[in-house]
Amino acid sequence: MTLLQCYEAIGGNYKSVTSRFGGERLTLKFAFKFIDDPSYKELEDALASGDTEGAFRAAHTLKGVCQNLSFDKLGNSASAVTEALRAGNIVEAKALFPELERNYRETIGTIQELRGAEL
Amino acid sequence: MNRAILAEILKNYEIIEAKNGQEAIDSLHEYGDRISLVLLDYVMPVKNGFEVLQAMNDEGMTEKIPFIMISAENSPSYVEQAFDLGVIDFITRPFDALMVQHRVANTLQLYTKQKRLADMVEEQILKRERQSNTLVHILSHIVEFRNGESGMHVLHIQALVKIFLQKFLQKIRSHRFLSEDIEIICMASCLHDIGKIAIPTEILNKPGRLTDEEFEIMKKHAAIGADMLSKMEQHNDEPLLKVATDICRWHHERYDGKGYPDGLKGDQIPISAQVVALADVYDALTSKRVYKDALPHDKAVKMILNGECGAFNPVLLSCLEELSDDLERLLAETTNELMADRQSGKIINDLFRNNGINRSDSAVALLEKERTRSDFIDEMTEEVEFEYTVDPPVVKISSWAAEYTGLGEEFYSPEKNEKMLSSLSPDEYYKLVTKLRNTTPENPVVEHECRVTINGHRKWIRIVAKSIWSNEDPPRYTGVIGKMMNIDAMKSLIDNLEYRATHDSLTGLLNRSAAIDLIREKLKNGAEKCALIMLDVDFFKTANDSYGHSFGDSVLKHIASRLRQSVRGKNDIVARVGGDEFFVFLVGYRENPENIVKRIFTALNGKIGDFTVSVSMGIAAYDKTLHYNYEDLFLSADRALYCAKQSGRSQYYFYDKSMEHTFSNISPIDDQS
Repeated sequence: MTLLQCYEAIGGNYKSVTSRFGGERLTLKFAFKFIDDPSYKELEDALASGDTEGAFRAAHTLKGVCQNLSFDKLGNSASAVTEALRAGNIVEAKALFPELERNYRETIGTIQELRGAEL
Repeated sequence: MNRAILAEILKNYEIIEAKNGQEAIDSLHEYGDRISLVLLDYVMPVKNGFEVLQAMNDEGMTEKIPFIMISAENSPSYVEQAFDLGVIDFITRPFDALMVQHRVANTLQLYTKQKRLADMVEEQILKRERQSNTLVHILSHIVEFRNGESGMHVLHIQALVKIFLQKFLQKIRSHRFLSEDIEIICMASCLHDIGKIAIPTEILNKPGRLTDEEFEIMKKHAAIGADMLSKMEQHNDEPLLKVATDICRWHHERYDGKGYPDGLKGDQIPISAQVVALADVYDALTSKRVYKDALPHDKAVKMILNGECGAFNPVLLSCLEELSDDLERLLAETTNELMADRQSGKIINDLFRNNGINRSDSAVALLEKERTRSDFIDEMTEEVEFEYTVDPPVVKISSWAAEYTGLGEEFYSPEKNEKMLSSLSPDEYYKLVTKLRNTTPENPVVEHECRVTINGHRKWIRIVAKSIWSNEDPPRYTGVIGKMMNIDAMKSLIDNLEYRATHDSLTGLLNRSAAIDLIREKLKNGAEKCALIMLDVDFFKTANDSYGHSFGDSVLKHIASRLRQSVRGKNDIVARVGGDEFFVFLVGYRENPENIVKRIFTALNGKIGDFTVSVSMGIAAYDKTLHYNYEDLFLSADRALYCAKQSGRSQYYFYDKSMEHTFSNISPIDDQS
């Protein structure tokens, strides 16, 4: 699998990210790093414990990372959760979370597959 | 993760990361303005971006360090608030590597330029301030000079005004005056009597009482001074000039309205003029004038408080009363401060006095570290680093050295610093200064070796210094940096080597080549009468053969010590030239060297154990009327010695013409120095 194929599979914008990072090298580096990024886990935990503020920060960070990496599809669902939490609506956020979870697993899975191919 | 991406993009810079708002604040405190730029996120744990900005704003950090906000948020109110809090730029997510790099580089460049400009402006302000201070002092000095006053009057007024005003403000707890107002009033007070320039000297300096008519003329100086100043229309807005005009016109008004020229009453009189009036009266009472003697401080204060010398604001009078015990001391201190200010400009002095700007600067923290390090090294190596600036004329030395020499870390005008001059003698100081003055930007380094006295010990030091030149065209000599090294140990080593190279190790006398050099030098300098004595020990070989070499050595030592005792002072030269042969060179005897020669000859004869010590001597005596050189003297003395030996030893012969054709074959010494 190529990086381009990976981006297409997860609904990311390959063109945008590679032009901003000046090529594939940095993009690959950070895409792999994303596997260990703790924001998703933090968001999940905060939602479970009802910590609206912590959940907001985690969702916001996840959104930022997605923007930087041009993971548009995952970014959009992170953005929806962020906005719900910004408004303090943890119920709505929880309702939106499964969609985000699906996208996250898809994204992580694909990147891991890519990494497997690279190794 | 977001930080990691940024760090990667900006990997050409040194980066400090903070994972939340509080850490960011802590880092800013720790590193201060060694941080060149801050990239700040809005959403952060513990403290958000705005909270960090607010805190940094309160500490004035945002003025020193550029903050760039990073965020996905870009609603107008958000952006506006960020700019209000002092961010200089915005970078929105997602980042573009190139854009981030350019924004950061541009901002850094902008700040560097701004800082440089600020430095330039500061320098200009300083220059201007010094120029205008100088002018005011020249002006006031002209007036004093014409008044026949000591030159201290204006300084005293200035000092007293400062003391009174500070007390007054403290008392009335008014915020109407700021410290800069005090500065201006002090400066303006110099000009209070400037109108006297228009008063004829006969009246101004009249020793006796003024007639009513004369007094009327004298009184005009107040209004004249004010007129002179107020007519300088192009400077009408200058606060200094406005205050000076007030002071000139009204410093002879009285609080009760009975003063001149306008008869103002109470607080119609500006406080500046009131204070100057009080200072003027106090200084007049306590100073000697053509028509009166100086009064003691207590008496002057008493007279003023009793209302014998005019009517003053009761608040001011209570200031005087409360200050009374300390006034003399304060006046002396403040006068000294003012004199120092005149020398080198106010701002610089403030810097020195408060160490204000210096110490709070975090660059200084770095320097401080560096200093501890270099102090330690200085102490280990006994080296002193120093720095001199021409303007202001200040010498700074490393703190270890400051303590070691007792000179302090900074001192003004080294040429007037007695402590320094008693350590490094004035003579050596001027030699060093001359060397430095003769440097050029191309050849800035000088070396100087001399002896100094530190804590009563004389030490040899070597100074290596480099003159510093400005970048202007032509370059200007702006200062010196340098190092002093203790070379005492090295010096004594060299002295020791020199001694060994010029002295005979057995007897401690000069050796042959050193003696010949000295004799040549004396002859060249036109020594008056002189005589060269060559002598050797009779039967020395026998002594050596029959009693052993160490006995021979003791004979030689005996001869050497006797010789040393029988010559006169330091002018005569005594040397062992080899084996059992010695030189004595007599310089500047009175009539005839015979007496001295006889004395030496007798002193050398004696007995050591069974061995009878005796010597044979040949003497060549010359006087100034003859041309001679060392070679002639040597040859003649050698011939005379030969004759003495030929005729049975143990005697001395003076050279005369009859020996001219004698050829020495006893003395194997040839003259190859």
